[in-house]
Amino acid sequence: MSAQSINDLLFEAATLLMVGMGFVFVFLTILIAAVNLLKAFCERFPGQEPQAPTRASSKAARPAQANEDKNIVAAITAAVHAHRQANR
Amino acid sequence: MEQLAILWDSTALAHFELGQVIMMAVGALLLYLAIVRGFEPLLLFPIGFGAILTNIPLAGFTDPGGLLYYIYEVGIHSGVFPLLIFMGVGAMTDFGALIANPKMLLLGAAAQFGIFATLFGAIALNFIPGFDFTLKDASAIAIIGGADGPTAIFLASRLSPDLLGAIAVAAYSYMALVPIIQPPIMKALTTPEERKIEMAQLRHVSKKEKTLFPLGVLLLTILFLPSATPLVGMFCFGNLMKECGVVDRLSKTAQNELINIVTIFLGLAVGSKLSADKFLTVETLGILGLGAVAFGIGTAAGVLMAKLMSRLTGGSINPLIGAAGVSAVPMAARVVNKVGLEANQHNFLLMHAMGPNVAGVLGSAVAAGVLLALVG
Repeated sequence: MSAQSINDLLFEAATLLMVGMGFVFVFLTILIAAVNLLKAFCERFPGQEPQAPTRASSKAARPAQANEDKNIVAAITAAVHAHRQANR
Repeated sequence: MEQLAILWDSTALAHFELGQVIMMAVGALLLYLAIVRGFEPLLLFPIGFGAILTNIPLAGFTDPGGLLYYIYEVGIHSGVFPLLIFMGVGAMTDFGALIANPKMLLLGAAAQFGIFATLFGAIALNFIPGFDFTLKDASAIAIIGGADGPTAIFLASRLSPDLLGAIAVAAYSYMALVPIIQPPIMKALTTPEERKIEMAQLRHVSKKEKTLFPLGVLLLTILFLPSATPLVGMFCFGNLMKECGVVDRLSKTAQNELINIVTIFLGLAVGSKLSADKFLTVETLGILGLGAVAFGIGTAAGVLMAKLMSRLTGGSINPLIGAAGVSAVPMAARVVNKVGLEANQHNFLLMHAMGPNVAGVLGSAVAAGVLLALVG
């Protein structure tokens, strides 16, 4: 390859260096803006976060479950009591 | 006596050429690195074995009709395998750290300087007699600096298939060497005080943001850089599969079985390009050298950018995380974490480094798209 054509290629490579880096930066900067928009959008319209309903439902479920537990404990206590009475 | 001559003629011994023996030794070296030293075994192992198979005399693995010939034509010549790998990588990537701190995208962009600087260097090598790189060759070599295997293979298969073997081997070897190449550069460019900086914890990122993110990236790529859509499109496809949560079965297949199957064939196909006439050239030496330079420059550019951002934000960013801008997920982020811990035992930078790390994947895909659009 002649020095002249290498010089031409080098010039082209330098152009690519600048255009390429410039484009990568511009593209990713736009992406930063897009992510910030996305964040703003999601804060504005939170919608249904899947964690939220489960947390709410578990809170609601807890008292009911506690009542149920009490009933079960009472039933078992009664059964054990009856069993002991019968086998005395 | 005549039969004896025919029998001798049908053994490989009579047909071995020196180049084939050397390439088999190279294949064995790759196997050694993979099995004994644990260097990127998932790829160097099939590549090494493929290299041995390719160089068997008389077997014709890479002649039309041979097994590796078909695997190469179907998978790499068509560009399909690297894209399928990219889909799997997308399905394994969590963009949470990046969405929480989108400024990290700048670090992913800065580290791509390694690619474009190496492009310049590859052309400059033409001044040395024996090198004859065209702009396409130089672009394919430069993408090694993106530290992203599938991107490098994809671009090389588009721009410079003859150099593909050397480029893939260089890319994966240097990715395995990230823990050795990066720390000296990172330490040289930062002060001990800067390495000790602790970063604020990242905010919580909602599932909705994570689901919309790949769609946003895809939309921007469609609008501004359609030539990168094969890479970015498959990547976003895999990532949306993971984040949307309704196709768990597909997402699991993409990140496990499918990517494993494709990796086996991709490795073999790359190995099939390690034939003596293509690999044993002075150009291969140039590619290996340029690859190391590309990695070094990319790391340095990332760290310097992070240093600048650290200054501008009043020291809330640890400059070390810039080194993770050269994709190589998650190896580069782990290296950052390790170097950070050496300076400050209570400083865990892993999550902070994952941001620039996945930004680097996007950055190198964008850089590949730019090269395809301008050179291809």
